[in-house]
Amino acid sequence: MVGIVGILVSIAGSFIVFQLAQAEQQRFSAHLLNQIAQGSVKPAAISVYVNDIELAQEILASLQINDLILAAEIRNENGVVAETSLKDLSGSPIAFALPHPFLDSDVVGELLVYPDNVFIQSLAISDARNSVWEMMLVSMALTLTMYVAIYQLLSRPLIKLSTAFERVDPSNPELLEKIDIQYTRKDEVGFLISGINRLIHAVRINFVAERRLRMRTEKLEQRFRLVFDKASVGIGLISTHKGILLENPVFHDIVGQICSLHDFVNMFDNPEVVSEAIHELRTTQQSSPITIDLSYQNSEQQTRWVNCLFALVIDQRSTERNDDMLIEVILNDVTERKEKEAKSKYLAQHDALTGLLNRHGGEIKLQALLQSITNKTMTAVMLIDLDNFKPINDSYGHDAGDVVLQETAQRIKRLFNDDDDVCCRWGGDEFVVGFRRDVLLPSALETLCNTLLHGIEMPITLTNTQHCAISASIGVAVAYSPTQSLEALLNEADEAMYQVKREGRSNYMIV
Amino acid sequence: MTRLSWLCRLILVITVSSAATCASAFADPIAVVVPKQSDINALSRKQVIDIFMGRFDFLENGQKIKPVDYDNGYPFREQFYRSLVNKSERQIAAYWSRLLFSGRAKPPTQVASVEVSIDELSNDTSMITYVPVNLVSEEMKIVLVLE
Repeated sequence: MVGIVGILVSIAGSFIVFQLAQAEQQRFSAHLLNQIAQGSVKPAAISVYVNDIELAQEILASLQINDLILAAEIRNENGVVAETSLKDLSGSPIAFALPHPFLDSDVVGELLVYPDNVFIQSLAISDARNSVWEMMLVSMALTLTMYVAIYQLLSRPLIKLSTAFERVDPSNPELLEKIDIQYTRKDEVGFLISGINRLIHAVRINFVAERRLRMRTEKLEQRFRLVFDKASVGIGLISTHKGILLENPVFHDIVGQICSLHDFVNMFDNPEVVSEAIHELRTTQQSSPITIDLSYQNSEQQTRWVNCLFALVIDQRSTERNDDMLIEVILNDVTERKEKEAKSKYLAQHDALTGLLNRHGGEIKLQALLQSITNKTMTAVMLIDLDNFKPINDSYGHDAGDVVLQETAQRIKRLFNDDDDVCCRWGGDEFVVGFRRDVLLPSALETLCNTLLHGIEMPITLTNTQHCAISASIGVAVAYSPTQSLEALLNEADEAMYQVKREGRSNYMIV
Repeated sequence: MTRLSWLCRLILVITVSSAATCASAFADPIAVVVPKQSDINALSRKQVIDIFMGRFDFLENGQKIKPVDYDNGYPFREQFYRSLVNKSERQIAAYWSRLLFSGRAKPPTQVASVEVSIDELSNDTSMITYVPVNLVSEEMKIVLVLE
């Protein structure tokens, strides 16, 4: 390539040199011709002056010997004095005035010289050709030298570098190797190689680091994903503006197909509690989470309990200040626990045999009942003790005793079935009932006691064949003010009940 | 008026005489002369040159003319050529030797002295020669004076 350019340049140069050399040679020939002719002007002038034709002929002959001159003639004012035999009339002659040999102002004739244009031209061409050849030779040699030098110093290392560079496989940066073409010189090519190697090195280091980081991130993400997806609790991220952003399968199972915060809040049985919690998070911007147990109705209309944890997520990356808030919600299904709790609470407060409240549960409820005493209502506590229960136990067995207790409890419960009514088995064959009636005349209270007595005294079926009957002694204490203690009321009722016992049982006494 | 013209004449005489004295102190002017019988009355300087340098041996009217020169080194010959063509005798010799071979143009006949030339002049009317002005005689006609 370089060689071709060099040759082209030298050819163009040759053409110019040819033209210049030709012009130069022609100019030189003209100059030479002029000099030669000038040398003959004086003798020619004399020959014309004395009209000496022989002399003129001689002068012309001596001029014609010259290669540059094709023909010549000498003229005086009358015409041709002498001329050479060969005369090319086509060419234009060069005229030299022949001055008077003794009077400078006078002209006696002229010398006409016909240049040998063919010869001059061929001379010029051959001279130009020589120049061109010389120049071509020199430029060729120069080009060749340059080419060899460039090839050795630049092209060869570059070709090797390019070949080596092609072998570098960028698709697998981990196996990137440095380029080594045994180039040790500290020139531009050397810098290029070391630059490429630095680049390769940097790419490889970066790639490996990047990949390691990516793998680590992926693994971490996988774990997070695992934790998130396989968590036993429901995890969701809710934006107050955009609704549910992120949810795991458990969360989705709990909340179902909902999107907005509003839907989320309203899925619970107590939406106002949830709204309040969110409002609190917003107003306080507190980082500590709020935990609430909430119930909701699932798709099968069963009540489920979830322990809800609301936490404010402060997104470090989000710099824009707007009123959008991210809330992390963790839902933990606690229905089972709630049921267990309820059950154990029930067990703790109820009597296993009769299903009535036990003494502990009864006390709690009675306390509550006493707290709500007003002067528009009448509240009373009733102590019911079965008469001669022990003999039934002894004669019919414990099972029969249990049946009697259960049946009696049912009968009490049937009579005192208001929500506010408290029926409890106080212990053994002793029952306590607390109740409130809006307006109850003393006679009405007596009627109630009689009804209860009669109800208890109805025969009780033990087995298909066995029946028994039992009576009860009832003491009733009416409460008038909330300041009265339960214990005092019960004591009053107890006193009354024992009074009944002493007076022959199967009766009631109201105090 | 009369007195002034006299004064002028006096100045003129003094000037001319002093000029003559000056010229005679170095050399007399040279006169180109022809026999008294010749038809030629005057010649231009160029004509004289052409005659003596061999260009013509005839005048325009076809009259033959024959120049007579003196031997080399003859007094006033140098002066003649110097004043005619501003060349030395040696240069004149070189000029003629160049034309010698062809033989077309011949140098003027050379005579030994002015006496011989005057003698020749009286014999041939086509002759022309030059003499110092002071040697011009009755038999001659001055056609040109070279100062």
